[in-house]
Amino acid sequence: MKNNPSLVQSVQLLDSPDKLRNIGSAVVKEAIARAMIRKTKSGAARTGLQILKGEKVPESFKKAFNIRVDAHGAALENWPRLGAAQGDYFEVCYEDAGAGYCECWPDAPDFEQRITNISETRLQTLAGVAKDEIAKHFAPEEIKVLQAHGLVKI
Amino acid sequence: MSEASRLNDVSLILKCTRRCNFACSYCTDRRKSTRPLNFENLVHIIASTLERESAGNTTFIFHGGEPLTLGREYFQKLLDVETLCVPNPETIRNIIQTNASLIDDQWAAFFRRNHIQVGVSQDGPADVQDLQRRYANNRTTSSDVRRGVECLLRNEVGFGVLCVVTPAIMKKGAHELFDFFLRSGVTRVGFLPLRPSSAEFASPEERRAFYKQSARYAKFMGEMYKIWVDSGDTSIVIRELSNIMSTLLGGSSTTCVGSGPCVGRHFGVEPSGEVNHCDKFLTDERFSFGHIAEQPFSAILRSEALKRAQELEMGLRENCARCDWFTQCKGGCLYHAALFAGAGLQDRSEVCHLRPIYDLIDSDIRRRIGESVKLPNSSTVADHPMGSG
Repeated sequence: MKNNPSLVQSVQLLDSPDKLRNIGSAVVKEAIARAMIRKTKSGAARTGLQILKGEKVPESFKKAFNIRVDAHGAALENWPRLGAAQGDYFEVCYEDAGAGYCECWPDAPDFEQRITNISETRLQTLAGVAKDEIAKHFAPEEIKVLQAHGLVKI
Repeated sequence: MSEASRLNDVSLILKCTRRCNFACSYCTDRRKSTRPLNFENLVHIIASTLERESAGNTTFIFHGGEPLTLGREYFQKLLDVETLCVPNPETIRNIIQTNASLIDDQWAAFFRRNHIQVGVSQDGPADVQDLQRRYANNRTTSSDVRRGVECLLRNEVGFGVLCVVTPAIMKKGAHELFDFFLRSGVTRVGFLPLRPSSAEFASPEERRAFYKQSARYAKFMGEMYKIWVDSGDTSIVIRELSNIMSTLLGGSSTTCVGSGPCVGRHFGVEPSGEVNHCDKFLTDERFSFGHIAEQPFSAILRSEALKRAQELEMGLRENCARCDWFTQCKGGCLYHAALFAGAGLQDRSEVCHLRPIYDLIDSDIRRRIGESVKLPNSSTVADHPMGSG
């Protein structure tokens, strides 16, 4: 069996931004950067990735690491900032990127806002099926099913 | 999210209807009955899943047939039931898998308003799509599907495309597929290997043909990987390759394949209300857990049938334990493992379609890291105590 963990460990050899830049493919670089971020979050290794103020930030990096950019997509500040809190970056789940979910969601700076946005939308839906309105949304036989499950009491 | 809470996450593939306006050449999912999952069973499954003990996150995947043939009212009611059931809607994730032929601006607005993620089944350029994914009346579908995809893009609905890698797709070539999806504005693509039914896998000749096809799939994905990384385009994500890269680098897979044990975490629900392990095991009694109307979901989670299926799963996955990549792929898709074991075959890694892809990506990343750290006055990766693997 191969010593598979050594690939994870060998990421630590990329201990400077230059070495990461030399990887040659932005796709592979991003995968490695994600691995570094995972390490950083666990406190096991420092990140060699750096984006300087004014540098163009790839769209996926912007999403993945929550980097603030100007109208032209250039970084508004060095990233990561000196002494940045770990919560300044979070990992985006590829599957969920479009929906704004991610596995480290609670770490995101706009976590509260996201929760609020989604909850408000859902609450509007809920308002649409408030108990006194229920008959407008469900047929009588459907209401019986809902009653059987204790979901409505009318 | 902690590991403990993830253990209580479940996903359910709801076969809302078997009715489909398409008749795809490779479909093994068509059934005579086209009656949809009715309201009563729908409430049973949603309420008892969301009310299960120590519930974590719940993902409902609305599948078919073609679920959009049921109309928006069906799904609006379904969402209303979800809302009545749970005070914390952020623990629910809704996904719909569609052929996109019926998507219009109203559907797109509905998906967006209700945070429903969309998976589109599309087999690439028009000639391949029209060859293997036709309407039931034999009309071509590519222009309608393209219009549906454009509608999702225009309305900024988050979606990904699933493409089944058939011989026609492989003949088309990875380059053309990659360019097609890039041109179409699709940024998330999954390339699925063909899956034979158990019956199709019964004869040695058919098994040999399938594994030959699997080897061609691995080659296709290897070509796709090279095209993708050479493009340097991080705006497009190729799901299977991203997951392999992620698991090689210590991360996790975003899909069930590569996430390890799946029995008890993923379920398939037939329109009749029968519950099974995932939709690929609908006809396998070893992975069948009864009818949702006869027992709440919590009872299914505690059932002897589920425990037996979990033990069976462990045995099936152990067949892969000697493979170099078992730590990363964790035995891959259980359906493939079950087919392999059912045929009485011995060394699965010999025929596994994932192994060559892992080999390729691992060696490519190692090479890149090795070349990158070869700076003047510094040691090479080979000299480094961690080695190059």
